[in-house]
Amino acid sequence: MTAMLALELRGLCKSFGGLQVTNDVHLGLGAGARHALIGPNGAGKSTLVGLVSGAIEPDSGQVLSFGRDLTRTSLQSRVKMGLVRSFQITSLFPKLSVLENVQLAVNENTGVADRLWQSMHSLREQRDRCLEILAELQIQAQADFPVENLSYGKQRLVEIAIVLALKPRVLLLDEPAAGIPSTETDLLLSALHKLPAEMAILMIEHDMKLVRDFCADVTVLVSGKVLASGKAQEVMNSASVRNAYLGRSGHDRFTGVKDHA
Amino acid sequence: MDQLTPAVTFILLYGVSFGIVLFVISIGLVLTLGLMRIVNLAHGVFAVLGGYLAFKLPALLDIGFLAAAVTAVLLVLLIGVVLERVFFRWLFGMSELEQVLATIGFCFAFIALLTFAFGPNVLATKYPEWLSGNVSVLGRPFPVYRVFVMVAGLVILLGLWLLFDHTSFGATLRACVDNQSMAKASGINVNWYFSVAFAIGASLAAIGGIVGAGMLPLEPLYPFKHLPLFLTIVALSGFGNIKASLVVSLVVGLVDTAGRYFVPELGAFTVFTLLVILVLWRPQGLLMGWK
Amino acid sequence: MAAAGSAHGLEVGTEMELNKHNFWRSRVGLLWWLMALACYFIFPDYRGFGASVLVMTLFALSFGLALGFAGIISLGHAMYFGIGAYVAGRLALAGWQEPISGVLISGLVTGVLAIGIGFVILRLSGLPLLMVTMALSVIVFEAANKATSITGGDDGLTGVSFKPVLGIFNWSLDGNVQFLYSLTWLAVVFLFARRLVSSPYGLSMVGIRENPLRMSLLGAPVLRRLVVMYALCASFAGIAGALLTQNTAFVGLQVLSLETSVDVLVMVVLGGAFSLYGALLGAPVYLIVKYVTQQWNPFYWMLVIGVLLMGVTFFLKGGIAGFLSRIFQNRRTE
Repeated sequence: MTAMLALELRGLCKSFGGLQVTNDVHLGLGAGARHALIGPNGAGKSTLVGLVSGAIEPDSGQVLSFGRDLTRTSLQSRVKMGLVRSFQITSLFPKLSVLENVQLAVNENTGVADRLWQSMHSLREQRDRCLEILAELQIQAQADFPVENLSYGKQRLVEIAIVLALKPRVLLLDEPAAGIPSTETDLLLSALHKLPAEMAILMIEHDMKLVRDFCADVTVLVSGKVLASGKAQEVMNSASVRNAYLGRSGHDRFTGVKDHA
Repeated sequence: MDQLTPAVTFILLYGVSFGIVLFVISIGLVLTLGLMRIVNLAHGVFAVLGGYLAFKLPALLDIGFLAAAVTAVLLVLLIGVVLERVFFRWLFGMSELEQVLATIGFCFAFIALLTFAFGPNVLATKYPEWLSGNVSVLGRPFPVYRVFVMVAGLVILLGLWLLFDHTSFGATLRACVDNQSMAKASGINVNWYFSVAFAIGASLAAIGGIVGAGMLPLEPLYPFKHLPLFLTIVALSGFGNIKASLVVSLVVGLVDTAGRYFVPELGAFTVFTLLVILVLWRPQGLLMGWK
Repeated sequence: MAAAGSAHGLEVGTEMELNKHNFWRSRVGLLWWLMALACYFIFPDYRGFGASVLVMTLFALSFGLALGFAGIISLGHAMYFGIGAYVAGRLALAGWQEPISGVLISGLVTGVLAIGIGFVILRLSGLPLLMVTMALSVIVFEAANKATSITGGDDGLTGVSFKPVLGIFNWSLDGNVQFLYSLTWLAVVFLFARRLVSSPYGLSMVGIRENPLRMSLLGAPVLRRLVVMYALCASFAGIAGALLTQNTAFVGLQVLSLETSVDVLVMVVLGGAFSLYGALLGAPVYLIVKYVTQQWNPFYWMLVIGVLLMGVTFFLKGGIAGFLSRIFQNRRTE
């Protein structure tokens, strides 16, 4: 008996105008998965993330999570069911403090965000959880700083804090390391390693080192189609995959000579 | 049936002439919004100023109406250039709300100045002899004035068409509207084109104000009073889309005229109801690129 | 510890931040209420005028919440103000002359109306929303203009009278009851608004204003929240309108006009859109300036307001409240 998949994509198709951006994509993640989605630029990764998160409606195919068909459910409902995404380009609440940013997420998650009459002070439980998450990511010192004043690397951590606050069962990480200078990636890496084991994680990344460090399985997307999918080692060593990442640079990235394009 | 044809014809004629006036006035607003992404709620000041000058100068300078009209347009052009440099330019990076506020403020201040200069009442405008009187259309009288408006409108349209579609200036201007960053990257001095477009818009508004004084009476409150109308046209036209604004202006002119004719109890209703329906039906389509 | 200096300027923040904010804010805030009460005694001849100022302040508060807090840019808020005014007037003419319940009914009507309207129009934002709100209020104005049997048209509703407040306080021409009655209502709504603002709901509204897409990705029902906020603001505006009717025993078309919507926009921006006290500062300043300059020349006030508006937009970001807030912040870091 196979356990229900945390995230399952069945035959997802999407075209914009005449362009087929997503072409019959099948993907399955079990609980606790650490799965990378890689592919050259223009492969349709962002569209796929949009399809999974609910921002884009597929032309055909299904998105399922723990056996439930989510294809027709709204963004908000998917989040409530534990399907959460992070952004490639940080999308926070710039004028609010770090704490407030995380608190927004915690409030939604614990169902108190609708309360008009209650004072924020009295929400001890929520505050504590916020501080807990900030401490996990080692950004509690900046709790009261407006997010726009933080370095980009720290902002990415706030991004992670927010998704953590939502207690996801399935997490879509859209290029978590994008834009972070190499001096700050360690903090991000340790944060990623601290993510709960039972959480299923689908990570879109160009940083092959990060992929190798973090992910057990890899799926390669090229021109909207799945080229290869399986254990990280096998996929990364496959010749067709290397060819897809054209040229020397691609070859080097896969053999570990280079980490980035 | 026999009653309907002349009624419809007249509605068409009145509606189209009204629409033309609205179009000529609104072009500047459409351009400003399209090119500079500036919401200029004070655009009406150019129209009303042109009108006031054209009708006051004959007595002041002892010149004919036509000469006064031309002078008025040139004066407004000049004033427009100055104002663009001194004030409107600074609205460029601001949020929508701030632009709304600043231009409303400007509008208010301008209205106050107009009141001070010309008094608070509607100016009784009298067009020269050659524009008064009627012609016979389908056996009924139709004002020569309105014929003039339509002819003037056609001339302006022709001029605009030549300018935008057949000169390099026009082509460059259109490039700036369509893709600002590309235009800049190609070395085009986009700011200069903005200023020129602004000046053109102001002058056209002045012409519209002068020509349209018989339909939109001149008074200090003019820019504020007709703001909803101008904004409606711009809202439904999209950005920098002159052709669309022509269609929209004509439609607005026709709807307003027809509305007042067939359902006089509703008055100004019809246009705004149309606006609400349209914006709700196609909020993305109508103001594409806004958000 | 760095001063977060939240631009949203409302009582949202960590406990430590909040304490600092509260200390000065409640000092200044209290001062405002004391001054308002003092005006009652210091300017006995102006109690009627004072009552109108208080009513407009309440209206401005309702608008400020929608604008500064929820980010709803509307040029049509007078619609709710006017409808509230007419509902109160018609109730009185129909025999329902108990003032407090009259106000509550007006507020309820406008609130419910706004729920319906809000669900439709709040899918828009920015310029399209501005346009639709303006168009709607113009439509309502024209409708009211024509429906003379209901609204009295140009002449307005006259012969409107009310029973004494709480059965004891009689309405009189010197404005005593009007002033204190309006002040009380303002205080009640203000306290409600303050609670709202410092609630988790309030925080989520700020989130929606700053980044609505992200909020929906946090699972927040954005449209529903906006509609609730909008309806509350419409209610408050309706309450203000009803108060105006009760204070002046009259309802005129002016309450529904575009000028009124613009007036309230100016008041809020002048005072500072992002602070609750913005409305409380902006409305009196605007109205007093208007009153004084109109004595010279009816149109001079437009010049003054026009210049003020431009000045505030270019130089005084955050209005008067923002300005004061910055002064107090500097004092705090000494």
